[in-house]
Amino acid sequence: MFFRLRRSRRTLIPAGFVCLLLAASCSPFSPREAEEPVGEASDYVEPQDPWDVISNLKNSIETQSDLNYERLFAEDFVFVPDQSDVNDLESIYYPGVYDDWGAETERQVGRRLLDESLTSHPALSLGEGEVAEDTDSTYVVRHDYELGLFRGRYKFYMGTAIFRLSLNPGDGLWYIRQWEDSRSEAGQAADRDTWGRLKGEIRATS
Amino acid sequence: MWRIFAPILLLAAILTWVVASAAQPADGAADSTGTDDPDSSYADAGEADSSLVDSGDSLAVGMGDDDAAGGGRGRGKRRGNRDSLAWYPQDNWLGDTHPKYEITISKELDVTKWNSKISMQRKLSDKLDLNLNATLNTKENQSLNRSESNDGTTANLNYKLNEDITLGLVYNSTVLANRYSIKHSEPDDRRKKEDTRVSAAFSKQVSDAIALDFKTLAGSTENSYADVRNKGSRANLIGSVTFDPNERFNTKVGFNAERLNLDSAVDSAEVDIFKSKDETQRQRLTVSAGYTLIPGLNLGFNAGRSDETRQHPEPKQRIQETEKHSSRNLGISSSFNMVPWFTWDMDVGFDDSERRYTVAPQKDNISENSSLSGNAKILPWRGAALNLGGERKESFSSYQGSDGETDVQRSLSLKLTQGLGSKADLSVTALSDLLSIFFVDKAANPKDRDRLKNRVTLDLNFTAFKRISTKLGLQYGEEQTIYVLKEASADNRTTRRYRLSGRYSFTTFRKIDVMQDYDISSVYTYYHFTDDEFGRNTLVRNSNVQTRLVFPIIRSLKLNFGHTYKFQDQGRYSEKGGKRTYSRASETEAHRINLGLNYKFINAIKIFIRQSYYVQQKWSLTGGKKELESQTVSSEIMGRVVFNYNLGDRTKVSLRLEQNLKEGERVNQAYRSYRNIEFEASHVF
Repeated sequence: MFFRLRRSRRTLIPAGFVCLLLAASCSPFSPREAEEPVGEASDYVEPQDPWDVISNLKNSIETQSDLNYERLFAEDFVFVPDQSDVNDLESIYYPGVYDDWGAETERQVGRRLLDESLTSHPALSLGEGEVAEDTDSTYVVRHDYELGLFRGRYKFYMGTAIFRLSLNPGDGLWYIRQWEDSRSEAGQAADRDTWGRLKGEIRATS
Repeated sequence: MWRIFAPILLLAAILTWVVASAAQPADGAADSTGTDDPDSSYADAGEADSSLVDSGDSLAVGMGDDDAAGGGRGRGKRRGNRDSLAWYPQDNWLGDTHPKYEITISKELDVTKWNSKISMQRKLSDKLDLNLNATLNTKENQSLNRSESNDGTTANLNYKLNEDITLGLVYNSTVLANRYSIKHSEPDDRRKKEDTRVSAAFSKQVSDAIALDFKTLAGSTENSYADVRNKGSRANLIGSVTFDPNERFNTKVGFNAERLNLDSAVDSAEVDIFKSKDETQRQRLTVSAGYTLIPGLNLGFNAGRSDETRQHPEPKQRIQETEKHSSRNLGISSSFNMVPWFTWDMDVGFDDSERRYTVAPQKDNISENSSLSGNAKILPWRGAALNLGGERKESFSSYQGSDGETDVQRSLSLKLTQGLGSKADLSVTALSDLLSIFFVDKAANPKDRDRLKNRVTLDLNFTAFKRISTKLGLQYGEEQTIYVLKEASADNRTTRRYRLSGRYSFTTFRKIDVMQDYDISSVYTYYHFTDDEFGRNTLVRNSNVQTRLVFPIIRSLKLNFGHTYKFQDQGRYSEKGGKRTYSRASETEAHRINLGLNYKFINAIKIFIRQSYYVQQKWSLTGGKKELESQTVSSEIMGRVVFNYNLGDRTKVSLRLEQNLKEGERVNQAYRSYRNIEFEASHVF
């Protein structure tokens, strides 16, 4: 009897695992049916090289593809705003607006930024990248940027962005792990707000 | 200039001090350096210091003076009483003041930072204590040509009137200054915030069941930034009543209110000064209760409501904005923990929020959220644990005048872990998550969509012998992105990820550690509506092998060797007629070799040297012909020295120097050779 029980348990455990694996591989949810497309697909390249990520960032902004924008960021992403934007927005009016700015916050703010019912005619120009670090798993590049978009009125945002990208060993693709935003001399001279300021305002008022 | 010379002088003084004390290793000093634990208690510090006093070295004079200043409460006396009063926190010794000074100076690439902090806690009497903190932080970025400084001061005086009532005085000051050119002597942008407040706190356990806590704060606040200045008063009232009649029932009601009155002025050189009287009011009321129906079966309830009216000037538009914000929330939770083989918990929550603007009503927004989640843990058989989880969240939001959207997220998770004897364990994890977004105005925003994520992983750990361990992992993931409407559905795609990874490690003769990792993965991206035969569908395949060896040459010297091999190929593929045709477009192969040396010179000094060489070749494949597209070669040599020294438990010094020399084609010249420095020191006076 004891032998039978042991044997049955020995077969039950692997059988249970197999059943669970089979059950797990079947999705309990299914998405909606889609209509046949009428337009062209947006430009998106699998980011095998770090500069593919920068190119996807520009394309996702200009085509207002928030899903492509969401795919740019690593799960441990961190946004570092310019200190003067923190000072201005985190005054007594919006305390903590830049706190805990991770991938989920960036994706939500990106959705608001690229929402077609609120934003139109976005254009992003990036200056020549200055590479500070380039290894097989890390790439740090600095770009001056100018972002123009219509949200009630057409407005330009200028500054410098330092992107720290990392290679995800799970799929061999590159993602943005840190985005450090700061005012540039040109932006300061032209009295333009930074992109980080716009992102902070979107988060503060939503 | 003082920012440069002051830390150097301080560093020189501390190093001289450290060298002088190290050069005369008195018995007591030897004892003190033996305390390596940075978290060791203050009581240990006292012993170490008194031994230094006995040793008669240069530090002893300083310590003696410090003791004298401490109101004649000598260390010998303290040490003599320590055994009998070991239970009493050392910080509470009346009359003892031990200001702590900390400084950190670091330079990493083009960013230089100076941080210094002085803090002090002093118990003036049984009823009166004082806390002081001052910080000075400066950051300079050479390549951006910018500097930022942040100076903060906090003073806190508390007077305990009796067992129930504490009175306090708080002063906070923060000055932030930015220079957009390092050469500028005057800051281009300055912000100052100053608060002075008095407080009264009442805390009383009225009976075994009822506890009351109330705190009120009132004072003045002054704030200036950019063109805006404001000055006024701030008052807060915080209170809670806890009713806890027995072990099975508890409830708490909390209230938090703030009132802020400010006279604001927007001062612009070109136009008149704009003035406004800004009033801000915030209130929040919360209620929570917990009930144990029977031991192991618990119910919880929480609800809250908050309202806020906030006025502030809009500097660029020179008008006063009024924001009104209100929110409500309600939550119910339950947990079952009656039998060891089955536990569960379940939560239901609802909340809504509304924000309205007077001047800019286009920024109005509302949101309504509900959620239902549950988790269960089952122990089905010996050595196994099954965790099941599920969640459904629904949220409606309308933002900046849009008609709004509803997001519905559903997820299920499962994790089974099975111990297979003492040497192995196995786990299976599965996750399924569907996020659906429904826009109300589909003409304005035709991006109704679903995103479905499924993932299954299997991990096996096996330790065959004490010094040999292996690990195997299998992973499958799928992500479907479906735009429902025709305007956006050209982007619909499914990405499938497959991954197989393995690792083994063992220790051979002479304690040589060997470790190898294998990782193979592939990523398929399939576009649902693609006509072009090799249009947009992509396949990326990765192979990765890492080898690491650690040779302990002598106890304090280790040699590390590492090699990484990576291969990646990618191309387009077609799935027409159910047959998959793959056309490879490029291949990338890379090798990295690292050789490192770890040397622990003495306990205080550690040296690390690493040399690495990296080569990457990228080929393009056109019509079956393989051509070298690019070759990247880079090499790097890096040396690091870390010096950590604790002089007793009162003084800590650490210095980290790192020199890096890089040769790389893509890295900018400015970053190819750099020296990073970090110096930290702290002293408790």
